[in-house]
Amino acid sequence: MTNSPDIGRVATSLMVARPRELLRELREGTDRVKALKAIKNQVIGSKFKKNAFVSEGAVEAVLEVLRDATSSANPSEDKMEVVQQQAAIVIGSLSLSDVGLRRLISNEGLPFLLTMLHSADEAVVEAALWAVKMVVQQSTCVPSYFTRPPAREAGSPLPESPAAAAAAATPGPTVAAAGPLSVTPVRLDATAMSAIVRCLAVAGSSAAHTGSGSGMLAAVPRSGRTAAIVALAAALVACCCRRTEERNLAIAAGAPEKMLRLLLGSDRADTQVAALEGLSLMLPYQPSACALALSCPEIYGRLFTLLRDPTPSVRLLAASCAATLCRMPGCEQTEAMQRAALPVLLRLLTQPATRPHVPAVLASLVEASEALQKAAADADAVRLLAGLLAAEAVAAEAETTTARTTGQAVAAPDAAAVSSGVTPYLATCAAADGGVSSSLREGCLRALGSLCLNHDESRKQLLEAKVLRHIVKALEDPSNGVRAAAALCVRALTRCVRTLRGGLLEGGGGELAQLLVDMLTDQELEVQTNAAAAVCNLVLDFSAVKSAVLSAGGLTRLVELTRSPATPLRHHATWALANMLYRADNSVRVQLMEALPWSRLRQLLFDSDPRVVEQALVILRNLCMAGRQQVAAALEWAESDRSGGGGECGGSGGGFASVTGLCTTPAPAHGHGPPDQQPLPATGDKETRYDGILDVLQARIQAAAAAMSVTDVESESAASTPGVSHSPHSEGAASPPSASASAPALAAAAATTAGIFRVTRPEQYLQTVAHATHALYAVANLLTGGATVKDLVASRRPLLAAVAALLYPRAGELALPAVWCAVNLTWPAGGGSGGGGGGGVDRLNRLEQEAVATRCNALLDVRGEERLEELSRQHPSRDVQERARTALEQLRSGAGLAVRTSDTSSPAAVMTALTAQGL
Amino acid sequence: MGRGEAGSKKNIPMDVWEQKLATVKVPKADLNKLIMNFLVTEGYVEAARMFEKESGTAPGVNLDAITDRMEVRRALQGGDVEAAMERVNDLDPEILESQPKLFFHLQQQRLIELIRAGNVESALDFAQQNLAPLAEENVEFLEELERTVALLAFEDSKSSPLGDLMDVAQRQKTASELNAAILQSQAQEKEPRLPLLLKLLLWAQAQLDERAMYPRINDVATAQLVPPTKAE
Repeated sequence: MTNSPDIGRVATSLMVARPRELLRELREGTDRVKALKAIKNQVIGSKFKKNAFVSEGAVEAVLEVLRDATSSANPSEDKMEVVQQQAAIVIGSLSLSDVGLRRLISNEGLPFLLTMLHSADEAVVEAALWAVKMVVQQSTCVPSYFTRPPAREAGSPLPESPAAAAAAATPGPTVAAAGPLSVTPVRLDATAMSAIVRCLAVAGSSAAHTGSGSGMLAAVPRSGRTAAIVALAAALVACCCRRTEERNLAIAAGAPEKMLRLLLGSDRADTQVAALEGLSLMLPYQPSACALALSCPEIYGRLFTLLRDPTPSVRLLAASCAATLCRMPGCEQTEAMQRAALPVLLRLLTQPATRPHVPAVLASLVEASEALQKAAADADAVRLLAGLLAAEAVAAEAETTTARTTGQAVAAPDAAAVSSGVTPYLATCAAADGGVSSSLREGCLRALGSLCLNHDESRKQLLEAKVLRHIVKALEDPSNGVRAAAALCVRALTRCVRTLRGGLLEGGGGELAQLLVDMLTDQELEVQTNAAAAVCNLVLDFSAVKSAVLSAGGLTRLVELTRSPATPLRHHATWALANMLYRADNSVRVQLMEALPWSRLRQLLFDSDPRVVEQALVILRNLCMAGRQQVAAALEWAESDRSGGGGECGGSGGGFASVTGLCTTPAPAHGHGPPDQQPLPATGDKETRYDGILDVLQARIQAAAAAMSVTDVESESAASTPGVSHSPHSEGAASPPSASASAPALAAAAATTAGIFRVTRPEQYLQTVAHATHALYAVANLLTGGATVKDLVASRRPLLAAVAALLYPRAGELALPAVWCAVNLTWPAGGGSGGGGGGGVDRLNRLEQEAVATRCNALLDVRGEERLEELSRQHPSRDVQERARTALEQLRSGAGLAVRTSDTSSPAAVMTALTAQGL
Repeated sequence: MGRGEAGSKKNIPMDVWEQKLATVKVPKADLNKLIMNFLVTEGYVEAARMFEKESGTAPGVNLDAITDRMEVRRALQGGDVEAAMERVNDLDPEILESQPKLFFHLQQQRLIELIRAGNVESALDFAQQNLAPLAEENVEFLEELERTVALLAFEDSKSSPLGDLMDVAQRQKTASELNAAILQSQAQEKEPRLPLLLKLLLWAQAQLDERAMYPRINDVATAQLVPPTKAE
């Protein structure tokens, strides 16, 4: 109709008179209740009238009445409570217009409402609660949860044209004055929140049962004013929980327990649903409330029932609570709840009304369970989520364009932060759109990431869905959560080479590398962690990506991240560095040694987390690559850093101090303090320059060797050495870095405990084995270096003894790297076999042969021959047997003992060794 | 059903059926609850009070609240929309605050009552003051408002093409909408369970018709079991 604007304009002129009259009546008249009621009946439901009254000073006038009513000098004859009740409702209604809300705040009206919450009159309490709820609703721009869904069809949430979006005219009155710019922030303080939370408990029943689960089923009145107050309070608390600060206040005020009681005890549907919503928002942040919930057996039945509720949004909230509780240790029906919640969520995902809020809940449900991830993937969840992600991205683009053309600001980042996390409420009002779409985006990405993390089929589906563009774009999203979730997707995708070839790496991978390096510099920890994991996966298989990551400065960045206090990030960063070195050419090794000083790696080698230690050992193993030059470079690197940290190394010669097992250097400092926290003493010992690396490796090998022997003796030694039965790592951390060999001490402690772990804590045992494997290979690699290194290794009797201890059929997998050590140690230098020591060899060759003999004898000293012989006969692996035979041959010929029996070998070996030393 | 199918259906004679029915125990208390639910939801306050007294069945809700609800309905059906709205606002301000469609329908009903009273001036005045702002915000409302205001153009609005708006049924419709909203705000079911059970019965019989011949209830008012007609 073309004349409707005219009607509106005429109406405006007519409207002004009435509010003014009514307000005069309120100020001057005798019947204030009548005036208040008249105002109330005009403003309820009409945004237009609210604005008209507010602009005539209605908020101030009503507050004035309230002030009078509560003061002792009450001029009117009306009953104070009735005045308060009606005034509160008028204030609440007027607060639903943003102007009204602003007036209320600027006139400091909120405390009046909050004071009324303590009134003895239930009608006053109810009215005040309602008014506060309106204020909170309006200030969060989130419509009421229950009343909203049926009313929503009334006004379509999406404006039809850009012009319509620009106009302030948003549909229903509850979403009045929408738009991120017009939200008036109202902050409730702790006192206010505790007054509200107090209303959750029915008067008189709160003291009867506190804490114990059995009291949770106390009767909550079904009808009447009390029931209405409880229902209102529950809805208000749920509404407050949508904002972080108020949620924390509500938790502090004890809301979770009271809401739980309502969920289990109330049979009013609206109260239950409000309690459910509040709990779905609070439980993820309050493990103690989860524990309390799980202590009531009724919670399971109630959630199962609510999962079947006819209202989709209720099912969603129930699934959200179930997802949170499933992950708690005390949950008795984890599987049953997961199995019940998953199909519900998958169905909700197909329904437009609930769809935007499902992915976040789905993500949190499947995150913890691989079986669920598979089940969800089988139900076509990947395709659905990808479709949702794409649709959301398109809508967001359109919205941005719209906002730009109409001069509106795009949803502020903090608006998005407000509703990040699980936000199951079904508000689709324009103002919250930024938040909803951001939470939808995050939910989709997170769920997709979880689904793809362990399933190749899902990764394939995700690539087929052609949403890679949106995932990559989300890596630059202003919301931390969205970026983290997108990074999880990328990480999941990098787990499969095949999917990568057709997807992320299209076009060479250079762009991807830059992207990943950017992600490594992200401010959000989770993004960094996922990016490090992605780099870790990529550099293993794609040399192009590896060099691109290098040239984008990824190496330096990863080294920086190894300092992170967050263990997963440190672990992934270390791992990524280790993988960078895998099959890398020399330039990569050189670059890494430049970026990562030995002192830093040494800290990682003594990290509190064994997984970090393992990757640090892999770095060391990959650095000490076979080859004279490489080994020399690695040793040079360790030495140069040491001299930088602890002063010059002197050149004066000394004895083989380490032969005796005494370490001349202290164990490096633990933790993640600055490098070279502990200046190393300048021992002036020429050989100590290698001790840094060798000490570390020796300790790890000794730990494994001791674990083996202790396992053989079984529990005996565990009982005999109670003093050191801590975990090997904490022991290492606790031991003072005294010069008297803390590394062997660490090894001894580890040894004692590792044996116990083999039986009681197999994980720790496996860790010890893994550490030793890398250490053994590193030693084997070092033994391909120059004679100096070889001699140094050979001169370490404890190291050789530990290696020899692993030359043992029962050492299992460790026997192979150990045998490699033996092979390399006894390797005849210069290609000459040196069998009989013919007369045609020159002096240099003879010197070399003597050096070989020294090494071989050192091995004989630690019963290497018997060990190798036993190994060559009894190890289950043919490969090991073969190598053992090779080592044995080399050993015998190197030591010139080809025909000698092992019984007589020892004295001769010592003699040879002495001779060698003398030279 | 086709003739060929009849033979494949199971035939359940009356005595077997009644035997089966006899094994189903329905506690009297449940039946009473069902009746109370009907009385309460439909708003038969006096009957509910009597039934409570006689059967000892708790109404489950505050009967005074029903009185309020019934008064709202009575006011609306009597044409006093304003009184009905005031009453609703006293009961729960949230109802009209949060349901713009319902609020518009009530204001529209007020306009209709003014037109019915032949008060053209105040009808126009009311439309301008209270309905135009709502219509400005919502296209759907605008159309309805146009339709309603158009009543003024007719000499005899009742026999006009828009006469349905003037009908008592329009009042009933608005009253039902409001009643349902009040029930919802009090967290009660919007309709009694009894009709739902009858619907369920009809559905179940329809399912059974495809599989068996059995004593059927053809008239729900009498609930008489009609024995199956002999097959063949």
